[in-house]
Amino acid sequence: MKSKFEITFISISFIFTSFLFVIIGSIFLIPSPQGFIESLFSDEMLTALKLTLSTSILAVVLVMLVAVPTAYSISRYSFPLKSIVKSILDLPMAFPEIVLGIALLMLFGNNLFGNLLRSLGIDIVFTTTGIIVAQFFVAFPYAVKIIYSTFSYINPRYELVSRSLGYGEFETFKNITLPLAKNGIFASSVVTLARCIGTFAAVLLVGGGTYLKTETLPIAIYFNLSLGNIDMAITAGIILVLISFVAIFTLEKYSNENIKGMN
Amino acid sequence: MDSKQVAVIAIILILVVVAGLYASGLLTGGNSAQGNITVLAGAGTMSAMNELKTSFEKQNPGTTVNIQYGNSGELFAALQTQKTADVIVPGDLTFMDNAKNKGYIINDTVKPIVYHIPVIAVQKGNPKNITSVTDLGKSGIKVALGDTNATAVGKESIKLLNKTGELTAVQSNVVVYAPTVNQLLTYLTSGQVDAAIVTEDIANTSAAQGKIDVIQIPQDQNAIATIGVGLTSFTQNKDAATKFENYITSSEGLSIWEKHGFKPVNQ
Repeated sequence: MKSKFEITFISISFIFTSFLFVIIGSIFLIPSPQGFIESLFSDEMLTALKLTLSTSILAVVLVMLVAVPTAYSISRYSFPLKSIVKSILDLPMAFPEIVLGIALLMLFGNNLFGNLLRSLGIDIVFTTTGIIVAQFFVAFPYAVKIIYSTFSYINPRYELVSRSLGYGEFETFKNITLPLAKNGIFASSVVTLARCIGTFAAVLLVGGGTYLKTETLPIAIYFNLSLGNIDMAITAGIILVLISFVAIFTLEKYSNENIKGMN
Repeated sequence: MDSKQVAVIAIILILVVVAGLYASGLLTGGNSAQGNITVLAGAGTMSAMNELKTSFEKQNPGTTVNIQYGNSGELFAALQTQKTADVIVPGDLTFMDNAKNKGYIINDTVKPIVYHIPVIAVQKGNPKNITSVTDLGKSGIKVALGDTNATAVGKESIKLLNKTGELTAVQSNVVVYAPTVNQLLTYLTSGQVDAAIVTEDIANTSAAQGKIDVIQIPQDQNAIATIGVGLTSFTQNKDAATKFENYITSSEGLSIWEKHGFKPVNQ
């Protein structure tokens, strides 16, 4: 027998989850099946989908390469300015993406750093490189946060035992820490991927949002909405929802299996 | 607090939220000279429209003007999906023809208001010495244009480049076709591009003053759009909507448009 308190709380979560479900579900009802298929296989959509996936996957790989060492250092070591480093890492999560976009533009603009890159022949603004850079900085803080909590849950004693048995720092990290943190790292790459795919304002500003050239899926929604092509816009929206669903579903399934494995 | 009270409070809260959502949908669009009117306006008209709204509301207490801004396609999409707006102020009168064909506009209510004049915006001090449309096609110049479908100024740019025969040369210099016009000035002021074609009113806004230089395009080379206004066929409040339309086309209204860098049609 459930208590009234329990029933109330469960009802609240049910009612508002069903609201959310109706909201998300309603976009699937807007396009006609024919319009959806036509939009899905249009040049613009396929180009946007390819561009979004390729830039996001590259960005995730780069984010992970940087986020794992960063998260490990702030969870294990003490070093000067550590609290400032942690605050700076959390900052981009609190302010709107567009701020990050403008900041990146200024950085790569007519100044020492921008001109240096240009003299090396590296073009960032208005290119796919720019899209990856924008995705990287939007997603990086999220990745660090999740991996940091994963490392913090791992008891340092395992590492100490490994070290006392004569293994070096790198071997210990490779054979003990990483396998223990595997799930957290996997989870954070899924979240990071979803974040990269959904990045809009920063990618729009840095990449320029040029039709068929630097047009990612979120930009395709905006673009087609502004042209009155509702079918195209909604189709891009549906693709994004499906990608997110697959990502979240994978995450849930994976973490459940691991909880079972632990018990 | 026992669980019964919690349950009662929770249920009341949910009812309040639902009732609120319901009421907000019902209470819009009363039919009197008072009440709310919804205006769909081109993004480029924002500075002038905001001031027109404030002064209109001051003169007509009890009437609230809600404005939704967007580029021409967004406005069209809003008409098509919401079917609730009273007044529409697109950035280009050609928009009205499309909307009329769909039956979204009351025919005899369309009036022209002001011109939307494309100009060349360059970095402060004009370091690349750009003086004309022809200069935009010179090698080594980076140009930013509005997207040629999604923005009115993008469409105008293509028209005027075609007129002057510079289209091919300039297009090879275009590094970005931005879907929003405000991006163009950002790219210019941050030094990503050397020149952009924007409308005069945007180039003259206080935000851009002192950060960019403006080069006029001679009238015979230019492609000038007209901002107009019309009542939609969905209006639930024709009295207030007509009043608002008359106000933004009155001499008092036109002086506000002028203050924001637009040239009235009748001058």
